[in-house]
Amino acid sequence: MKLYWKYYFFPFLYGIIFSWYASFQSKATHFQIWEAVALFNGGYLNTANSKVVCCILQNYVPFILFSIVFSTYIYRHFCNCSVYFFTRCENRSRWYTKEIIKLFGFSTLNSIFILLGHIATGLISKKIVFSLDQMWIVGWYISLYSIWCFSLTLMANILAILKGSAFGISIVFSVQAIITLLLLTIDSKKELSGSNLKRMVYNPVSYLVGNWYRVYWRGKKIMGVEPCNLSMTTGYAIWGSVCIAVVLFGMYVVHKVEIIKSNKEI
Amino acid sequence: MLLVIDETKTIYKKLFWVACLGKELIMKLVLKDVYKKMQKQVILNHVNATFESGKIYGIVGRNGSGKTMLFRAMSGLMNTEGEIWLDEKRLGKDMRILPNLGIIIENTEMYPEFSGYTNLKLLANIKKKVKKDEIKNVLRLVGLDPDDNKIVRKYSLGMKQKLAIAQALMEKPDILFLDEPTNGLDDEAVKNFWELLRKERSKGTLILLASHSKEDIEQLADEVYYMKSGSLFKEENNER
Repeated sequence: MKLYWKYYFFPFLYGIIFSWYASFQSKATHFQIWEAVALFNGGYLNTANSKVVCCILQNYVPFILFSIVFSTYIYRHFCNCSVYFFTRCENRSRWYTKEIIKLFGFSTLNSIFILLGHIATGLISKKIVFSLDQMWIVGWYISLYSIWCFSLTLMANILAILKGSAFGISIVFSVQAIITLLLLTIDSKKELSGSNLKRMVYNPVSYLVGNWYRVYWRGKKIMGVEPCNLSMTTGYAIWGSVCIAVVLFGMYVVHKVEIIKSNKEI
Repeated sequence: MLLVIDETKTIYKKLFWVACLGKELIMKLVLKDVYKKMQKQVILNHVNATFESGKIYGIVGRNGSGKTMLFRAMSGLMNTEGEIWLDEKRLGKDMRILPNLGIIIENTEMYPEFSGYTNLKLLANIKKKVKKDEIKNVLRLVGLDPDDNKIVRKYSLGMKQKLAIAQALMEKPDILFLDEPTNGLDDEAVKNFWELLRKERSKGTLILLASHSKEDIEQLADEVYYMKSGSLFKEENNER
């Protein structure tokens, strides 16, 4: 496991650089933690346009790197050593469950390290404002981004088991990029209603943008910009369902796969 | 010294059961009509055989004759038609993989980014049957330095093979499947390895040894089987 720890330097560094860069664009003397997680530098934009989509793609960077590094976390046991490993592993379901719990933990740590990077910069340049409602948003960010990142990484691992690691990574990120680019079909010049609104509501990537939610804490609005009106519950339901589907598919694959080829990467 | 104690313990254990039951415990691995077809090619062609503990069975066959696939099928890593029984238990029904199996498969490597010792430790962590000292002992037994931090990627072919032998032996298996185990070993190491196998046989281990070299097999095996195009037969000329 020591092998993976060094990769946490990157999300931390990303958080620092990103916050530091954003500090040039803001004259505020106080750093609110939620600013770091709402859409990062997406600011208060209330609809999808090329700038917002670019911001979303930019936010993917540390998560994509995580997914690439961990895309072999489960798959590696099916490459070198697979025969020696699985002739010892009597219960593959138990092994798989343990591995995905660890992978989810790593995914959560990745989100936390990005946030810590942001906070580190904020501590140096500005006064940080902590409050309970902000912690609520931070909790949303860590949990939803962890579920999302975990689902992508696990899917990359499963596809790698079936067809090799290059296939796994390329399919997962192509699909994610296409879904993100579909946000460009939202006409930012028109009012966000009807079919225009549907394009936002039915796109799962929309639920990764903090500013498009409407969140209240004890009667006070703490996140979201009008007229966007996404529900936090729907966000969790969508990404939670994706996550469960990927986990179950993985369980099936891990159970059914025959250890025949010693190493798909050769 | 520790190894001698271990061996003595195993022999006493065996004697104890012989005394209690009045007969020697013999484990039987039975293959009944095992068949496998992959991509329109028959890999295992209705294989029938019975293997007993305390014996070394040699399987001679050219590369691609199906020896490795037979080992994969018998270990439980590959689904096949037909039945594989270990005593009263059926593989795939009563157990997913053969219990307490040591295996070497040709061209299967260890985790290349770790040292030999770390590799064995990672594998030992799955069953948690052996301790650090035992891992170190088995490495010494095959002629590797347990304190060597060199990563497996930098190992020579002979060192990789020694490491594979160590992983197969480390958990004191009841069954050993060895596919071309002497690949890359020098004469001295081969001699030591044969000696190790003889000791394992005396402990009651069921050993299946596959090789394309008939001479190697005949030196050691109690019974010799031949494999060609997925078929297993006892007499060299008795091809189906």
